[in-house]
Formats: sequence, structure tokens, C-alpha cells
Amino acid sequence: MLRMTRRTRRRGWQSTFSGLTGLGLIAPFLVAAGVFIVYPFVELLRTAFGEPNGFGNVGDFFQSPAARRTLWTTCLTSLIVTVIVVAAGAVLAWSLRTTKSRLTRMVIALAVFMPLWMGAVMKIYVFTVLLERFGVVNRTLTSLGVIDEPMQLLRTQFAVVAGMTYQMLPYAVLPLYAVYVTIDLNLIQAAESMGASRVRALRDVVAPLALPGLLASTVIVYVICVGYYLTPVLLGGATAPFTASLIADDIFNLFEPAQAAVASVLLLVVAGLVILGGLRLVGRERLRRALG
Amino acid sequence: MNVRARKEPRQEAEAEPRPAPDAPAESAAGLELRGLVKRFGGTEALRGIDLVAEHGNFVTVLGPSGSGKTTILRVVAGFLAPDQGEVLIDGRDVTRMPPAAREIGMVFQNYALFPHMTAADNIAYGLKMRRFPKADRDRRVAEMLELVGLGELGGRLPRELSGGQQQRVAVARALAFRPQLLLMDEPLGALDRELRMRMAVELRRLHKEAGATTVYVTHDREEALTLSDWIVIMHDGRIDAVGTAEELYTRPRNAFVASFFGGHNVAEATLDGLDGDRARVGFAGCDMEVLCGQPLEPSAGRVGLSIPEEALSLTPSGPAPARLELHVLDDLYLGNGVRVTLRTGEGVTLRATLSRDARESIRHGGTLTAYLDTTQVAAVPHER
Repeated sequence: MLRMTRRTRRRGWQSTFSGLTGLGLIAPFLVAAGVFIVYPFVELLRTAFGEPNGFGNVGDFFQSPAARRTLWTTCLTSLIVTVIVVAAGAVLAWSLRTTKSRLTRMVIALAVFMPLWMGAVMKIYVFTVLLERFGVVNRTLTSLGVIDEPMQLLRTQFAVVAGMTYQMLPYAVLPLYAVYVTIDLNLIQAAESMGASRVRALRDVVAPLALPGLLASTVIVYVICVGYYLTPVLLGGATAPFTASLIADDIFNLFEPAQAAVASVLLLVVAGLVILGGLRLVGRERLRRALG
Repeated sequence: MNVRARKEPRQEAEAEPRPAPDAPAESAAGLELRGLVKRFGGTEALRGIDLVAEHGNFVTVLGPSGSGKTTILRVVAGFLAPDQGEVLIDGRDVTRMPPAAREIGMVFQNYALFPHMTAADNIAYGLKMRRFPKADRDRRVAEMLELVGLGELGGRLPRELSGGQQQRVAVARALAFRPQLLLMDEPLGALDRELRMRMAVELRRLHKEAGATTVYVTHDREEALTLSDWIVIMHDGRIDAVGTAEELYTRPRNAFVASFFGGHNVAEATLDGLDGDRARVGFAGCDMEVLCGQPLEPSAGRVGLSIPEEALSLTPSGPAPARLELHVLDDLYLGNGVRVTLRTGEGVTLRATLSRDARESIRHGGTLTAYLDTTQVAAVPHER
């Protein structure tokens, strides 16, 4: 005979929480979000549009040619970095996805993820060693006879772009790899068996399926780039003044909290616009899937 | 490229042995493989494959996993390059050609439908690659949808279709551009049993209508039986046997074909003499005369016997039944019969399916008298 044991419960089992229990469970998060996100943000807006001129603070910001230049440099440099990073990341992630050689996989993975394990100062120091007047790059080029005397590499916009590209690569490779993994490689063979060349198969099959991932990584990389501070300061110096360093100056040297706050809000607006643009292009649903 | 001009007489001679009724008389074989060898690292996945399939034939490659059957398909499709050997499609050497140039249709195990295209766009893809004008393309797509019974569903995305419907789209897609060769890699593997059998019949019909040479890879012998003109049995990177389903079932060449394809018992027996393609053997205390699966060595001494499960019965049948006294090790009631595991006096274990009243025939002490229809038994080389 089969015997069934039955345990009685005071209330019946439910597969979902009641609203109140749910609220209780997310309460810690709500408190943390309130304290660490909402409050500082409100405070930032109050500072930006408070003394001395209220909303006129924004006008003051754009009055200054130096300030306008930082905003322009920030947006342009970030754009260049984003294009390079996403293009390189798309290829690297695809290699990582398709290679059968364990060695290749290890080398790519190590090269891409190494920057994530190192501190920012360390990464920048590496580039200083590479790019300084008598650094690795200049010495190699002079000894090869490509150039006669060392070039100015450090404290140029090139140095900033190179350093940022290196640091941003993992942020493009990871989301792209995550999307690529969902693409069945048999699809390429199916396309080829029907008469498509490899390039055509990649264009017709992989590209459309990877598009949400491409746009997602573009957005992620650009938004992070816009806030860069240390790399432009240390590798670019005065040649590539980022808005972030302007903010630091305003706070620590010039003691103008209102201007710092306005600049911060402007950076937020740029990031927000990029995210909105990305959402419009991909569609909310697909972006959410691409981000996991 | 002019195929006829390049054709050498030798090829015709090789293509000769199995003429298909509807193949053009002078054409080369639909698919010919010559001495294919493929190594992966140190292991040989294919150890010299030679095969000729007539144009329009349906050939099933059957083998256990790891036997190299999928590797053959991938080499023919052009996704893998062989280390040695050649692949000829309708007399055309395609060994060094990319997949796109081979004019093959392929159905993948998981269908590999393009998830971002509708069923109709999936089917149209091969036509698009061949630059068919839009009107022709649309007409052909409608025709293919009709052929596979999906007339109204062309606008759906693959994920909006059931497994069986996706399967049909995959077949339609592979056949739309009228390839000379259709390759199928366990296409029914993902379907449930009932649907699988229905689709097998369907595939058979589509094959007849399309007329393309078809190579179908599977590990399921029921599918192989339902579908094929010819069955190729793969074992360990080699072709073990080629034949019709009936030949392979009633007259297996060796023990592997008998057990893997037929599901037969293979038991050891003494070889007492040979007479043409018949052998006199001694098994379980009986002398009997049986067919040889292949010419045997007269001095072998011992042979294997391929004994189908249905060759044993409770009542004598066939012209020369052999009476066996057997121990019953296990009996399993199946409804329409009883599946028993039996042991001879010499300790050889046999599986058999007996009629429903077999249980009453089991005597005290677990013995049973059964009759072996020796016409169903075949002698194969003895393997240790």
C-alpha cells in the first residue's frame, strides 16, 4: 500500500508573495537606493541650480570657452574610443566564440580580461612606460629607423584614446560574447550550404542577431567613457581636458560647487541621451534581453 | 562547367553496380566517395570510406555514436576537409570547393532555421543567393510551403512554429533551390516518437517528389528501415556493410550488423562443413544447416550465429526447426507477447519474443522447450 504523510500548515502554500511581504523584502534595497542614489542626486540638482544664479548657472558654464571645450573633447574622444572598442570587441568576442584552439581562447581571454584585474593607476602607468619620450614605442621605432628622433606620444590625445581603449575593451567584449553565445554556429553553415559566402553568412545571419548586443555595448562603453577622469589627466594632461577634470578643478581648486554640479548634470544628460538613443534603436525588449 | 566532358570512362564503370530505375542511363553516380580519411588529432574518425550512391537514391548512414557517420556528412557538405580522398557529386569533384559551390541542401539536427527570418524568408534564402528574380522566388517559396503542408504559415517566425513544422521548413529550405544532393543529419532526432514516424513517411514522399540524391544520417534503425533504398552501416570509422534493409536484416555480413542493425542474438557455434552459401553448424546440441552472411573460411572451426528474436517460438515452424531445451532467466510481459531471456545448456544467453502463453509453458525448474526456425538464422564470421 502507498501511504501518504501529510503535514498541516497554518496557511496554504502560495507560489507568489503577497504585496506586503514583497515590499518588506525589497525594503533594504529601497532604503539603500534612497540614501545612496536619490538623495545625492537631488542634492546635486539643488547645487547646480541654486546659488549663485539658479538656472543661470548653466549659462555661466557655456560662457566659459574652456568649459565648452572640455565638454566637446569629452564627447568626441569618447566617441572615437567607443567606435574602436566596439569594432575591436566585436571581432575579439567572435574569435573567442568560434575558436576551437584552447590556446587562442586563453590568450584572447587573458588579454581582454587582464585590464579588469588591474588598478586604474597601474594600467595608466603601463601606458606611460610604453609611450614616454624614451619609452618602448619610441625606442623600437627609432632603432628600426622608422623615425629619426623620439615622438611626443605621452600627453597627446592619441595617448588618451589608446589608454581608454585598452581599459574599455572588456566592457565591449563581455556583452558581445554573451550575445554571440546565443547564436547557433550551425546557422552559418546552413547559410553556406545554401550558397552564401562566409562574409555573406556573417552579414545575413550573425549581424542581425548580434545587433542588440552591438548597440548595448556601444551604449555601455560610451556612457562609461564620458565619466573618465584619471586617464585623460595622466596620459593627456592639458591636451585632452575632460569635463571630469574640470569638475575636480572646480571643487578642489576653484571652490565653485555650482559649476562642478552643472558640469556633472551635463555629463548625466549626455549619458542619458545616449541610453535613450540606444533604447530607441534597439527597442527596449531586445536591449533588455541583450543585457541578460 | 561541362560535367560530361570531364567525365572519365572509369567513373562510369564504378558507378555501375547499382542502377536506380529512374536515373538517366549515362549519368555518373549521384554521390561518390573515394578513400575518405579524416583525422582529429590522433584519432581517425574516417578510415577509408568508399561509397557510390546512384542519382536519386535514398541512402541512410546508420551507426552508433562515434562511428563517423556525422563526419562523413560534414565532409560531403564541405564543412570539414578530408585528409585524404575525394568527394564527387554527379561526377563533379567538389573536394576542394567551399560549401556554397557544392549545390547541396542540408537539414540540420536542430534545424538551424534563421530565427530572425520568417518561414518564407528561410525558404527563400538559397534562391536569393542564386539571384532568382523576386517573382520566381515567391512562386517557388509558395510551392515549397504547399509541398510540405505549411501553406498558410509562411509569415511565421521559426519560434512561432511547432517542432514538426520547423522540421518541414528546414526540409523545404534545403530543397527549394533544387539541389542535386540532400544531406540530413538526424533530422528527426528532436521529435517525439509518433511524430518521428509520421515525418519519416513524409520525408520519403518529399524525396520521391524532389528526386535528389539523399544521404540521411541516423542512429535509429527504425528510421533507416522506413526510409532507405540503401543502408550503409558504419562502425568505428569504416563502412561495415551496405545493402537493402531486407538483405541486412535477413543476411547480416557480420556480428556487428546482426546485433546493431537487426537487434539479433549472436551466439557461438561449431562449423562442421560448408556447402556453397550454406553452412552446417552445431549449436546447443543440434545440428542445423543455415545461410552464410558472407563467404566463410572452411577451416574456421567456429562461427557466429545471428539468431533473430522472432526465430524462436513455442511451436515448430519453418522447414527444419531445431528443438532446444532452454533455461528461462527472465520473462517480461509486453501485452502482445512475452520477452524472455533464455540460456542454453552450454551457457549461451538468447533473447526472444514469444507468444502470450509462454508463461504457462515454463516448466517447474524454469525450463522451456522452444523451436528455432533455422531458415531465419545466418552464420557470420566468429569474432572474439
